[in-house]
Amino acid sequence: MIENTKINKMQLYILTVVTGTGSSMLYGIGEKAKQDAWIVVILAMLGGMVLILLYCWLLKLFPDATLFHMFENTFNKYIAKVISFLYVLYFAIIASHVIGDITTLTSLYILSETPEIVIEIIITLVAMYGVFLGIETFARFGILVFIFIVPLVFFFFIGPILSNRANFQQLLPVLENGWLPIIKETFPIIFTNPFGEIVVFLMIIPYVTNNKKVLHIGILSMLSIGVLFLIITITNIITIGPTFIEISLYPTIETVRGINILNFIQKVEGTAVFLFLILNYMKIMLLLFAASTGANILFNTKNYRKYIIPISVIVFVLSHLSIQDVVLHFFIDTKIVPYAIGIPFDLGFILLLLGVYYIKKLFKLKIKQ
Amino acid sequence: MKRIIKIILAMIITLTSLTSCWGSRELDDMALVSGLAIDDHPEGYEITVQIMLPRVAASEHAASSLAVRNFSEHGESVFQTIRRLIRRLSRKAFFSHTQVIIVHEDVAREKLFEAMDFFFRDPELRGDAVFLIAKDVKAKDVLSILTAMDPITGVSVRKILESMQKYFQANRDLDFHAVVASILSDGIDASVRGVTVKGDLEKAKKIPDSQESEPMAYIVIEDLAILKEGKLIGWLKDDDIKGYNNLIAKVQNTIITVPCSETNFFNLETTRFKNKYKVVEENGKVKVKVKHNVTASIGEIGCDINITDSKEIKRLEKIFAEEFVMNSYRTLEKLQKEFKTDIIGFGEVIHRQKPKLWKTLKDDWNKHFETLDVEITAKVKIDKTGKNTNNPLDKYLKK
Amino acid sequence: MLTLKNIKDLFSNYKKNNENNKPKVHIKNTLQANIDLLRQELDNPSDLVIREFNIKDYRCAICLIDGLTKGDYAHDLLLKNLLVDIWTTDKIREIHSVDELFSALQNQFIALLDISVVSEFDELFLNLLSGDCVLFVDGIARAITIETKGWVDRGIIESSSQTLVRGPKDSFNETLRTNTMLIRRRIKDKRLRVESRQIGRISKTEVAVMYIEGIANDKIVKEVHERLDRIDIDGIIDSSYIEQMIQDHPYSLFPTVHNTERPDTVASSLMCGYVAIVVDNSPFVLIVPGLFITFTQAAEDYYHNFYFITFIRLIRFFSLLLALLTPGIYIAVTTFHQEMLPTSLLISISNQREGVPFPVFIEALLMELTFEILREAGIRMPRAIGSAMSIVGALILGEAAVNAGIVSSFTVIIVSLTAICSLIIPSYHISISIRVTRFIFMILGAVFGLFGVISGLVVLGLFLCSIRSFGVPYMYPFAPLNYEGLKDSIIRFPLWKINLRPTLISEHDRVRESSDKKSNNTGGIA
Repeated sequence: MIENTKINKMQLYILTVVTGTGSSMLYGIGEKAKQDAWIVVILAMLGGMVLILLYCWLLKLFPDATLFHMFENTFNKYIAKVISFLYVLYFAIIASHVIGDITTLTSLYILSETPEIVIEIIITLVAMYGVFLGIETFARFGILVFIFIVPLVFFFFIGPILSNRANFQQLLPVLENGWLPIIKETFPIIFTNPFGEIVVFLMIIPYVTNNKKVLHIGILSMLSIGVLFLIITITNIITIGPTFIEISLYPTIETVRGINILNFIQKVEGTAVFLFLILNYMKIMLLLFAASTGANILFNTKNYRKYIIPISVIVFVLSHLSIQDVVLHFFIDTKIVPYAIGIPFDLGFILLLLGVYYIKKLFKLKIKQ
Repeated sequence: MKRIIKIILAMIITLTSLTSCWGSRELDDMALVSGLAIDDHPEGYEITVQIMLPRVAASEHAASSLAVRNFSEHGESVFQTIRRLIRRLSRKAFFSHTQVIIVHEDVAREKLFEAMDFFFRDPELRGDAVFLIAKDVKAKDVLSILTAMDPITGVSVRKILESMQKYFQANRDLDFHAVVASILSDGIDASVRGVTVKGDLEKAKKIPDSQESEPMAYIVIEDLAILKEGKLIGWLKDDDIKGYNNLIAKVQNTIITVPCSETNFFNLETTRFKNKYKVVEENGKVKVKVKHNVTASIGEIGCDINITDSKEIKRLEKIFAEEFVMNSYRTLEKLQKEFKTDIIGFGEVIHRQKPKLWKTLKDDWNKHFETLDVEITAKVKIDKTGKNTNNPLDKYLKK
Repeated sequence: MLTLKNIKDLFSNYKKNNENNKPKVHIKNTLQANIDLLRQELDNPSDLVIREFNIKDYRCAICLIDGLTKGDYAHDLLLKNLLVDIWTTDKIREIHSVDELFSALQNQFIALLDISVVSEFDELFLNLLSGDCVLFVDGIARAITIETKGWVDRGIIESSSQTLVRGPKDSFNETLRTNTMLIRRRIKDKRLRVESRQIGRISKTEVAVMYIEGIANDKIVKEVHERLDRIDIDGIIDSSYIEQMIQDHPYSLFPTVHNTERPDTVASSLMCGYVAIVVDNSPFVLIVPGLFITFTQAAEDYYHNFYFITFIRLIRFFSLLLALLTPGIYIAVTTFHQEMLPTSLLISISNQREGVPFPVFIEALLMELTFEILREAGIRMPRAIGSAMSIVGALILGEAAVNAGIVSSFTVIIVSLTAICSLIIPSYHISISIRVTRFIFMILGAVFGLFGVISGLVVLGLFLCSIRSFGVPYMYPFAPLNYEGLKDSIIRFPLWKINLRPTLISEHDRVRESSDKKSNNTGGIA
C-alpha cells in the first residue's frame, strides 16, 4: 500500500499547538507586566487569533497551496523567489534558535559538563531523522507526545498547589500600572513564540486532508496555546511571585522545583526539562520540515528530502553561533526576533500578499470594464 | 532515502559510543554535602562543609559512629573558598543535596549579599536548602554538634525546623530562595530563624556524647533575625515571635497559653488560623485592619472551669482573643518602634489592595511603616474539648 | 569464483530448471508400469505399502504410506469396501468393462468421503505423501486418491505459552486441519474463508489464510496473498518462517506479525477483521496486521470485568515502560543527575555503591547480561535440573554477589524489577524486542544521561510511528488516533460499549455490538 502523506485535522492541531509551545514555556512570557502577565497572555492569544484569521483568509483565496505557491501566484517570479528564500531562512533561523534554547537549558540543568556542540549535534540528528521519516510520522508521534504531555502539564499546575506553595494573593493587584506595560509586553509576543511562529501553519496545510475548513482548528489551537500559557503563567506567579520571575532565567523550572508532595514526589524539575525537550524536538522537526519543503518548492524539485541535510547543517551552525554568547542570545531573543524577524514574516509579507492580490484583482476588473 | 536514514542512525550510534562520558560521576566519587556554614574570618570568610558518610549514615551503626565529617577552609570569597576545599577532600563536593545553610550573625550583619550570590547563581545548589543565622555561636559549631536521632546534622536541623513550622512557630522565609525573594520584594523585609547551641560544645563534638541519655549539647532554633534590606539588624525574641506568628498566620497548629491564676494556665491548641487583612483610608491616613480567625481546641485546663457550659466557653474564647490581640500588638510595636522594619508584609498587603496608594508609599515604606496605623481584632472559636469534658482532677484544683 | 553475479545466475538457472525443464509424467495405462514407477521414484521405501487385488477380473492396487493414514480408514474400511461390501451390491453384476468399474469405484463402491481422480504423477505423489490412499486400476491411465489422512498428534491440550485463569483452555496443535477446525467451531458464519496453498518447494507445507469476508479489509487480504505468493523457499518448518518472509520491515526490532497458540484469540481477531495464517506443522497461528497494541493484549482481557482489565492494562503499560527504561534511567540518574533523587534515597544508594569496583553502567550491564544468560539457560536446559539452576541463580547472583561487594543490592533490585516487568507483557515476541532495546537505552543513559534516554525515546517513538504492518500504522489506534480503537486499548470499555470494529482494520461491516443496554438486564424473579 502506498503511503499517501496526509495528516488529519487532529494531527494538524497538535502540530500547531506544539509550535506554539517551545522555549517560551521556559522563559515565561510577559514578565515585565509582573502579576498581570496573564492578561498579556490573553491579549497575545487574541492577537494570535487575528493572525490565524488572516492566514485562513489567504487559504480561502488559494486553496491547497503552500505559502510559497501563493507568492508565486501573486508576485513577479523573482520577487516571489526572493521572499520564499527569505522564508526558508526564517524557518531555519527559528529552528536554530530553538536548538540553541534547549541546548542552553540542557547544559545548564542536566548535562553541565558535556560540550554544548555535542548536545546540538544529537538534537539536530534526531530531528533530521524525524524529518526524513516524513510529516506523517512525526505528526503521529506528536499524538503520542500529546497523550503524555497533557497530564504532565496538569501535574505541573496542580503540583505547587498540592505542595502548599501556591499563594493566590500574589496575583493581586490587577492592573497596577495600567494598561501601558501590558500592551508593551503583548506587542512583541504576538509576533514571536508562542503565537507568532504559527506562520508554519501555511506550509503544512496542503498535507492536511479535507483542508478547506481549518479555521476552527487554527482558532482552537490558539485557544489551547493560550490556555496552556495561562496555566503556566498563573502557576509561576502564584508559586514564585512576580519579583522572582523577573530575575530568574527559567521561572517555570523554578516553579516546578518547588513541587514536593509527601516528601516523595520532589525534585521533578528534571522531568520538566525533558518535557520541554520533547516538545521542542517536535517543534524543530516541524520547522526543519517547513524549511526543506520550502526549499523544495523554491527550487522546483520533486523530493524535499534532499534539502534536509544542507538545511540542518545551516541550522546547526547558526544555533552553535547563537549560543556562544548567552547574553547576546537573550538580546536577540527579546529585542531582535520579535521586531526585525517576527513582524515582517508573521504579518508583513502576508499583508503585502493580500494587498497585491486585491490590487491585481482590481486592475483586472478595470481592464475588463 | 533509506540509505540516508541509515547514515544518520549510524552517526548517532558512533557519536554515542565515541564520546566519553562527560560529566558523569559515580556516586562513590562524590562527597555529598549536607550542610554549609559561613563564618566571618579576617581574610574574608570561613566556610565549613559537612560531608555525609553514606556508609555510616545508612547503616545500622549510624547512631554510634560518625556519619558526618566537617571540613573548614577560609578565603576571600565564597566561591574561591569552596574551591580551596578540594585540597582537603578526596572526592568532589556535591552541593545539590545541601539541607541547611547557616550564616554567622556577623556575616549577616555586614556582607550577606556578597556571601549569598554564589549560592543563588550556581545551578547545582538548589534553592530548597533551609537558611539559618547562627546566634551567639559560630556557624560551624552548629554543624559540629552530633545529633542522635538523625545522624546527619544538616538533616536533623532541617527536620527540627520543618516540624516547628508545622506545630510550633513558623516564619515566612524558610528556604534560601524565599529569603532572596523577600529581600527583593517591595513592601516586605526578610526574617530568618536563628540557631544556637546550648550545652557543652566541646564535648558534644565527640561520639561518646551519644552514649549518654542526655546530650551534652544540642541545637536550638530560637529567635528570629530581622534583615532590613538584606542586613541583619536585630533579633526578635521568642516571646515576640508569638505575635509574629499571629500576624503572618502561617502555622495552623500551635499552642497558646493564658494564665488563669498565679500559677496555673489554660492551654489552647489552634487547629485553624487565618488572617484577614483589610486596608482602609481614614482621613487621608492609611489603616490596616487585621483580623485573626482562629479555631481551636482545649489542650490543657489548669483551673476550675466548667467547659460543658457554653457561657464559660464564650468567656474563654474572649480571654484568648484578647491574648492573641495583645501578643500581636506587642510584636507590632517592637517592629515599628525598635526595628523599624516590616517583616510581616503590610506593604505587600497595601500593594495588593490599594495599588494606587502604594505608589505614594512605596519609596519610603519603612518610614511609613513606623507610623502605620494597624487595628488588630481576633475571633476565637473553641470547637473541641479533647477527649474529656471537664478536668478529671477538678476537685483537687479547687483547693 | 563465486561472485554475487554467479550466485544470481545460479538462482535464475535453478528457477528455469524447476519451472520449464520438468516434464509432466502421466499415469500409465498398465498397473505394473505404475507400480514400478512409484517404487522407482520413491526408491522403494520401507513405509510404502502396496496391496494388489482383483475386482472381478480387473487387477487393482492400493498404495499408501504407512503411518500417515488413519489406520481404520485405510486398512479396514477401504479394503472391506473393495473386497467384501462390493459383492453385496447389484451394481457389481452390471460391470462389464474396466471403464465401468472405474466410474463405479468413483461413484459408488468407496464409502469414504473425499475422493478425487488424478492423472499426473506429481499430483499423485503429493497426495500419497500427505497420507492419502491411491487406487490404481489396470488399464486405466488415471488413479483415484482417497483422503485417509490421519496420524498421531499431540491432541488438543492446554496452551503452554499463553496460559490463563478463565476462558477456553484448548490450544492449537501441529495439524492444520485440527487448527482450522478449532477456529471453525468458534465462527459458524458462511463468510469465513479458508484459502489454502502450498509453500515450500521441498516441504510442500500447506498454508491456510483465514478471514471473514466483508469484515476483513480486502486490501489487507490481497496483500497477504501477494506476499505469500512471493515466498520461494525450500521448506517451511514453522509459521515463524512465514512470519519472517512476509513482515513489513525485515530489519525492525519490533514484530509486525502477531502470533498465538490460542484459537479464541484467533477467532476474536478474525471477527475484528484481522487475517489469520494457519501453517501446517505449527501450533502458532499468525495474525496480521500485527500492531503494537495487539502485542500488549492477552486473550483473558475479554473474559474479566472491565475495571479489572483496565487496571491490569495500565499496569502492563507501566511495566512495559519500566522494563524498557528502568536500567537506563537508573544509570543516568546515579551518574549524572544525583540531584534528582530524594536525599535519603541517595544516601542509601550511595552507601551500597561504596566499595563496588565497577562503575554503575558496567555493574548494571553485567547484571543484565547475567540475567539474560540465566533466562536463556532456563529455557534451554532439561527440566530436571531446573531447581538446581534456580538455586545457583538466586544464591550466587542475589546473595553472594552483593555480600562480596561486587554489585550493589540496588542494582540487583533494578535488574530483577526489569526482569519481572518484562515477563508481564503477554507477547513473548515484543518482550524480546524490549529486552534488546533496553541495552541501547542503558548505553544512552551512561553516555548522555537522561538527555540521551529522552533522545532515544524520541527516535524510538518516531520509528514506531513510521512503521506499518500491512498498511496499517503500527501505533494505531494511538497514532493516528481512533476513538473506536481506543475503547479497547490501554483502557478496555465494557463489551457493550465497544460498538464498532476499528476503522483501519475492518472495512465494511463495522457494527460489532448494538444491543440495547438501557432496557434489558433488569428483569428476573422480582
